[in-house]
Amino acid sequence: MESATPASLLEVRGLRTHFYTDEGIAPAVDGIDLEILPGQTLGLVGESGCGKSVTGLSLLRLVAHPGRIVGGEIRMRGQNLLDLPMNEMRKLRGEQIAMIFQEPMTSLDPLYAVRDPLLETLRLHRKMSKSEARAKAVQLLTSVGITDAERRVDSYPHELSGGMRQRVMIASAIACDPALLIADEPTTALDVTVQAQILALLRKLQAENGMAILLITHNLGIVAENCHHVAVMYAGKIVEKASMRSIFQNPRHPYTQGLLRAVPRLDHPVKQPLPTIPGSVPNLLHLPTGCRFRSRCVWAQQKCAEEEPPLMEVEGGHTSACWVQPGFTQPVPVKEGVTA
Amino acid sequence: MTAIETRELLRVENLVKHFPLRPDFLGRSPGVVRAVDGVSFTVREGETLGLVGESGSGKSTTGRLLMRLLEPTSGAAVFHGQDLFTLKGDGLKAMRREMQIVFQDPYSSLNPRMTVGQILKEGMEPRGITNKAESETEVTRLLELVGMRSYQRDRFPHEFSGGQRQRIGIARALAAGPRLLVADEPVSALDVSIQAQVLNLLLKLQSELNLTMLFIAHDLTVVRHMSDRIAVMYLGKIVELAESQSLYINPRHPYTHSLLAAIPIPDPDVVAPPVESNAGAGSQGEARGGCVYRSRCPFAQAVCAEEPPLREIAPGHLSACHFAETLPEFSRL
Repeated sequence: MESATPASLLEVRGLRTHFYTDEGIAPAVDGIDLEILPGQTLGLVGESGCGKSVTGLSLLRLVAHPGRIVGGEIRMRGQNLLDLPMNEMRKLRGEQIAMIFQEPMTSLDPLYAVRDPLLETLRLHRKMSKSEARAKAVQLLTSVGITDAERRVDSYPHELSGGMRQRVMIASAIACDPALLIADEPTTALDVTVQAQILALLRKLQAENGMAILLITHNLGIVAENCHHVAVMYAGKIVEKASMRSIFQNPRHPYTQGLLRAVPRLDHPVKQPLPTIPGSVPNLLHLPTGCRFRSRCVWAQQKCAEEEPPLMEVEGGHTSACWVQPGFTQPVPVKEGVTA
Repeated sequence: MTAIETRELLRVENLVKHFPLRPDFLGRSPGVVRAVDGVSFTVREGETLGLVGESGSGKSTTGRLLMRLLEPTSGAAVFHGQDLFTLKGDGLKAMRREMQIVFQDPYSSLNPRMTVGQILKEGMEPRGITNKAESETEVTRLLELVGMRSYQRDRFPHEFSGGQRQRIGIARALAAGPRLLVADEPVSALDVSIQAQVLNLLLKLQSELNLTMLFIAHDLTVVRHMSDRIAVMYLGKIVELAESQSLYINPRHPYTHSLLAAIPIPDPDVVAPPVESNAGAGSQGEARGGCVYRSRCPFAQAVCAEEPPLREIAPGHLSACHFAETLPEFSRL
């Protein structure tokens, strides 16, 4: 693997997070490399179970039992986070790296007013007095587009709509001006018009304070509108990595190509069959030999069963883990036994 | 829409469902939620009518009322010449054979203690198939119809992936031999690659079995892909109804504009329009007595305090906006 540009804010090398279950070891994240540049958004894309959320939690060292980080490095400005003692890691969370989750309904404690998590963060990390913290909390709520923040700061989660709750989550995440925000499916539970607002808010905050964002999503439309770079994950591995434009214009991994084709589009004729990816994601406890995607891949060859493809350079800054690297416009072969 | 398919299978007239709010401690009810508030539409034989809207628009409630899973407050629905809401006993049973529903969540809508075979056999009961050999043959036929294997009949729902469970849910609905299928968010719990498989299956089944479909979903690209005509719902009302193509090329209601503007398009060359500033702000309380959308609407005028009727502004294109004809053009294509 070539060394990343020295400008990377966060560099992940060979990260492995495995889950030790009763039935065996599930390699949810199995040797991935990522680079996140300051002020930019990296989209981490994949379907359920591909390891994208576990990757996000791993960066904060928040993986719960029976999961464990078993290898690799997570370097933030050169410092390997996996070497930090727990108390320093705790300090870093919220201050350097913050995270927001999919469910704004469940990630706020119903017994605490909106102000409480905000005040806690500000007083813990910024050592503010109560009144300073309260003033800052009101200012933060205003900056995430909550009108009447002076009153809203004393509301309880049940008094807020889903979109408002996600704004409160974002306000507490950015309270200490983190260098990196991990956003795990931040709009999946929201209505489409509210989703558009929340994503616009994240873009605005990024433009203002220059934070980097790791945007975990399954929605390729969100990627196109919000990300600078993209990493596509499949069964614990990164299978393709490129700039956002390159992923859409020249996808070279059959899985990325399949995802792009399977989405209904507004410029397609209605009621026509969609190209599909046959089958479903393999069980992490029983992964096939060689390429993990091969059982669903129309391009698979003998070599794909024998040897796992590493990420190989397609063009400058664009890598794909495929022995075949088919072009996106090449006709897709019809494979025996693999049908939609 | 071709002329042959224009026979009407379902006509819904002024459908209303109010849910009472929880009474206060003195037993006084603070009012009602108008989940469905005067909805009228028709579904033609063999077509798919899409119902689209955000949470709280009443789209799922509409589907459930038609299935008689909820009782309406008022209104009528005529299915194949029969009034759905007056049916009782045997008549209701017979109707349930003709109309079936597929739910969103394939994890909670299948009985975990029954095998796939048992689930499907239960689904055939309204057809009166009791002969063992006949029902076994029918299980095989249904499984093959939804792209599964006959030997999978003895397995339990938990042994299947989400996509396969949704196939089982569809097979169960088909077991009764329905003419109308209500599909309530049938793919929103599924991953992109699996979603495409299930959408293809529904399209295939529709053409093979000449099914009529009411396709309820919040994803505008999915609804467009599946529907001949689409009704857009907002706070219990239909605000626009048109053929799929023309709804997306020439939307004639400000709410439809807003919904279309918010779709994230997976193409870096498509520039996203500016974001609606007061999305999600609407609630029924403030909208009483006028256009339901006016608190959010950038085009609202004094006249919008009067409720605009849903009216035909072009052949087959209905809009409930006073300014339907003069709204600016809008398209994401």
